[in-house]
Amino acid sequence: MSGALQPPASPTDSLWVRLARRGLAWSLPFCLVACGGQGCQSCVTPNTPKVTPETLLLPEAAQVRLTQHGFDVVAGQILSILKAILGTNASGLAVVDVAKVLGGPLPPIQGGLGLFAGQGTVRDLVLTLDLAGIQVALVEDSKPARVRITLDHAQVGVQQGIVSGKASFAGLESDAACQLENGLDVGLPNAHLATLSAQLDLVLDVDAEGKLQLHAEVVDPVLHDVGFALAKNCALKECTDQAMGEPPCLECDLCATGQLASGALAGMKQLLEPVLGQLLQAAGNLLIEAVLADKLNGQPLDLEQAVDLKAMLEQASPLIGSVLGPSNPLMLRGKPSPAAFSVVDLGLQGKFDAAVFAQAHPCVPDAGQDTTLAFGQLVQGAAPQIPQVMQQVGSDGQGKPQAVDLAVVLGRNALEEATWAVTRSGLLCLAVDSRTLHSASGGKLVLSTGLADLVLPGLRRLAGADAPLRIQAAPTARPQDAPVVTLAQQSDGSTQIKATLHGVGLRIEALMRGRWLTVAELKSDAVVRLSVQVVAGRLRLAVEDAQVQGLEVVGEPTFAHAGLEVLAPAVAQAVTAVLLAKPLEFELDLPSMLTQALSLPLTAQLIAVEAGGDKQDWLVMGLGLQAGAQGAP
Amino acid sequence: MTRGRTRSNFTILLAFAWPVVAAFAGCNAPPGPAPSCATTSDCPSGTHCGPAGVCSGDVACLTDPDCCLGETCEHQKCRPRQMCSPGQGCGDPGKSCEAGLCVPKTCINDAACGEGRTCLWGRCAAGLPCGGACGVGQACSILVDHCVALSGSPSACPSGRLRVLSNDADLLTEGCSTRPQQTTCRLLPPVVEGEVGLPGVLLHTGNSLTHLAYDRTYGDLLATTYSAAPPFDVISSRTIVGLPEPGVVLGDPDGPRLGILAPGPDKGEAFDAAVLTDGAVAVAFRDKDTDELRFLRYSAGGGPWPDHVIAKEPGAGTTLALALLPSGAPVVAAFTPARSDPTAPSQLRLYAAKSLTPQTASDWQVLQVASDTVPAPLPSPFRDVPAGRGAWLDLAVGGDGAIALAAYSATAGDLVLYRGTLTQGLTGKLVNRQQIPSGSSDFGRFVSLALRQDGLAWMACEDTAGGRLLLVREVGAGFQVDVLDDGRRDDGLHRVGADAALMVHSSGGAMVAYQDTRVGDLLWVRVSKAGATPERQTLATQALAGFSPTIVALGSKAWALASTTVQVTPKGEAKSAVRVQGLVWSGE
Repeated sequence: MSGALQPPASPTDSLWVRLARRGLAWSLPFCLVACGGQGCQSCVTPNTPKVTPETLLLPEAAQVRLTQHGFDVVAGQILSILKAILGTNASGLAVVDVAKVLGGPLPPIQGGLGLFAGQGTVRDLVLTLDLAGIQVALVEDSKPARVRITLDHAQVGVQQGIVSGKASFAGLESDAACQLENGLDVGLPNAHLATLSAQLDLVLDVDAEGKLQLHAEVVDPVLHDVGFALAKNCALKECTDQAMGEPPCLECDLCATGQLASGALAGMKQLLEPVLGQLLQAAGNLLIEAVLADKLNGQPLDLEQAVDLKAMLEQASPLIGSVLGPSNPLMLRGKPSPAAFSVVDLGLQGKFDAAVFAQAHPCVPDAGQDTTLAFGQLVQGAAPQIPQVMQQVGSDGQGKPQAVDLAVVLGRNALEEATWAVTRSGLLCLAVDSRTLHSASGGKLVLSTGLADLVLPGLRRLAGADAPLRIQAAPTARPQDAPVVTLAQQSDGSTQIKATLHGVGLRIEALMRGRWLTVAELKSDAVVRLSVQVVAGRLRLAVEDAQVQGLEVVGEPTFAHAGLEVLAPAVAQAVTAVLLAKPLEFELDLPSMLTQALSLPLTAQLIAVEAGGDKQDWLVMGLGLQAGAQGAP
Repeated sequence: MTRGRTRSNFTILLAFAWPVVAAFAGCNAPPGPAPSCATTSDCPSGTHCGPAGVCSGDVACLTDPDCCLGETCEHQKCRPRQMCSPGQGCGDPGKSCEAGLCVPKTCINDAACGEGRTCLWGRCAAGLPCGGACGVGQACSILVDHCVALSGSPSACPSGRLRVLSNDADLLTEGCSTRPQQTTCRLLPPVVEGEVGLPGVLLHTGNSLTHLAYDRTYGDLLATTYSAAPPFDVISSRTIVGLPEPGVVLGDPDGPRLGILAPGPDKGEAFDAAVLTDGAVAVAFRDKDTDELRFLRYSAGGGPWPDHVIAKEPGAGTTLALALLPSGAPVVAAFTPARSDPTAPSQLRLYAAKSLTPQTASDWQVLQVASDTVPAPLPSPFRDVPAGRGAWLDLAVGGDGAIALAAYSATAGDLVLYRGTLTQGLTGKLVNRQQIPSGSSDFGRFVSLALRQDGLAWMACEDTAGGRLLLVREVGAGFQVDVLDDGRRDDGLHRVGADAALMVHSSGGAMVAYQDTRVGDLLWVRVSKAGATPERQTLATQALAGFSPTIVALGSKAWALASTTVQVTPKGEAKSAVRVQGLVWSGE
């Protein structure tokens, strides 16, 4: 026997469970970037006390969908997993040690096949199962979601098996045993014992308490025909205990008589049908056990992870990184929504309640209470249909249609909550000085106290003519300053994310005698338009425009006749132009991420990002999957 | 009046050339020879007595002083002044229509004159009339703001006074008047102090307080004496170095800068001072013009106070601190920043006077403390501060002669405390940035050092990276660092810690005055003992307050604090004011 039904050594987690367990499927885009090539282990937190308030969880704010096309890719991998679980012999057949799988002896065969008195038993049974015709499919409209593994007239063979019992032979009653052999297509390579049709459903569900419930259900195993033979094997112990004077192996001669009772086949069928059902159930359980190796099944699935957004930005642009201040990490929390998993439109769908949160950094004034904002109450349109095909833009700028296998969609309210969290984290407490701008602009942007003296008369006197200036942003995060995010699909294929940040404090500082002295403090609304596009598999983020609106001077102005309302918008645009002259590009290490999340030999590529939904208020990220290990040709 | 005496050479040239030019131009010259004249009254109506003693209808000019007092120069010709009517106004808020002419308004105070003008001698003036001075034999007409020649030879006015026409209102209305000129000597207004107090140092000098301050408008060092008790009235003020020699007195000679308006050498941009045992004040300062570190002894009521060079090199004394040895002799720590030339590293040295009254550079013993070669280019946070160890520093000497010198490095962004003696030299101890709560990539600016009674050094400084005020306490061979003010306020983070001024209390506590640079407030924080919870108080909020605070003890529980406030005027001028206030703290 080359294999046995036992938990495989390698992880074989199901797609959704592993996504949920490893990195919060809804937070896939964040995690992909944050973890990058280092994998996502650091992103994972176990079920520990949460930082993110429960009240911030937005119902069904994030959804992940595996399309039919994507499922087909994954299904092939599921078959591989099944074979790995079941073990295969040299002929490629799954080999099952029945007693080991069932954990005990098989029930007796009533009628004893006509050979044995009353009843017989089967032991040491090792069956083979031809998986060539096995099919893995989603059960359409199933809720909870079902992944159905179908066996249709699969051939079941016996590799090994002993039928034993009491036998009456020549007036004597003695132990006897026969070797069980295939009785169908005997003499052919595919000789077998029976043909089996059955369904094994893997049911993915979340109960009312938010606990993950994944279980296997076997539906109606049917043996279509049974044909077996018994052979004499004098090596069996029952055949070697002859009485004094008897010929050796006499009692086992009955195996060779071929005189089976008329009901023998029915008896064997009666034995095998439940046994095969139990085998499939056991295989399903083993699959689930392997999937939930850390015993999450039946536990509340409520996960939280920290993402260092600053590190991501530093990686994308050292210049941007240099102007960012210290900030608190972004916390992503999510858990499956009630009845989260279903099959819709031939795709597997998971819905997650999600929240993005950050502890308020001291640089963000008026942060208010964590739960005062209720982004969940914002109007959010219905989630979009996932496009079967998206335009994948190559490095030459040309788009070509690509089938979408996996999609992650985020609602606008989640994006707004994320923007609010980013604000609270302190990440937007930027500080950029004129020396940096001068250097970054190749000497084109010159800001100095001498120049600023035109709108801040006296600054030159105060700080000297050539003192550097610094512009510092200090956003507020009061409830009334909640950000507004809108999405729009643009004609060039990119997606525009327009974020309106209210109550952004701007401070202009001059270096005077070694100290950064605030010479003007303003408050305004900032409108930032970001363009997001996937180009050659890389997520490209460009700032199209940054405007300050509704400027007002805060506090007692140092310069009574300051013309800041003229200067500030122009400076803001100039600074933005310099800092973000080049789009930020994020390398999403999807193969690494998938390896971490799924342990499936899959590679993935980002296809496109677009706005979706009737109200264009969902951000859709489409990915393509391919079978094959990372780095494989 | 002899008009020709007030004409410029150009006018005279024009006058002589006029008949020639007129002849070539074919002008209609008056028939017959022009009548000769001494004054315009000798001339027929409609003509003036020209500079050649000939009556003429047109007098060439370039500016008003080329014409009679009652005339103006228009299109290079003297013309009677344009008349105005009281109802029309003059189009200038500082002028009014008097007797048909627009002249500076009469006033009784500055408020009546509007922005940028002062009330001087009863008239609104945009500056000193006639620039504050006229030539010999001239007097200033306040109404037209230029000097006119006098017919007589009046005696010169005393220094700081200007001879002015007292009847120019009458003369103005009469064109080229023959009315006798009346003059008087007027005391010029005091020179307006510049931006004083950046930096400044307060000293307790016997029965009074002395505040030394740099005037960065003129480049002077100013000493102001205050009463030693609230309300700390100003007793006197003197410029002790920085006046030009010789200086032209264009202001009240008893006022600031002795009435000298012109700036002199730039002295005192960096300085420190201490009260000597005889009550005089030892002052070490930087002469920016000559790149010298200099020293003088100042005592109120005397002067001038001769100063001498201690050291001379580019950047010498960019930062410095002065303390007194147990003998009473001054010792100066001075920093010379590194230059871009790699062979010119920064220098941190001690200069110790060999006597109580050093007179020349040879009277100073030099001790090298640190020298840094600075990489170029410097990282961003340090590009605009002096390069090398000592960009900010402070010095203290214990009763046993133990020296403590704290020095910030603008290259490393950290703080070193040097300890030792003059004879044994100084050894540096680095304050480990890891010991700072939450860490800091740049700390130690504005360091202020004080020695406790137990001889241990405490240092207050800015955490520049975190915008906090730190207290670094010497503990054995190492340090403990406390955050005295983390800058957290209801409206967000405030950057605090600039210009820290530390004073230790005999009870074991300490107080620090410092600046909130976000709002320009002067703050005061106290800790009763090491590690105790700090108590913070805002002392000044007006304009940009909190520059250069210094604290002196008036008693065991009473203190005086001097600080500088800067205000920017609508015209873009920066005006500063030094304020001395009392503090009370028992140390508990």
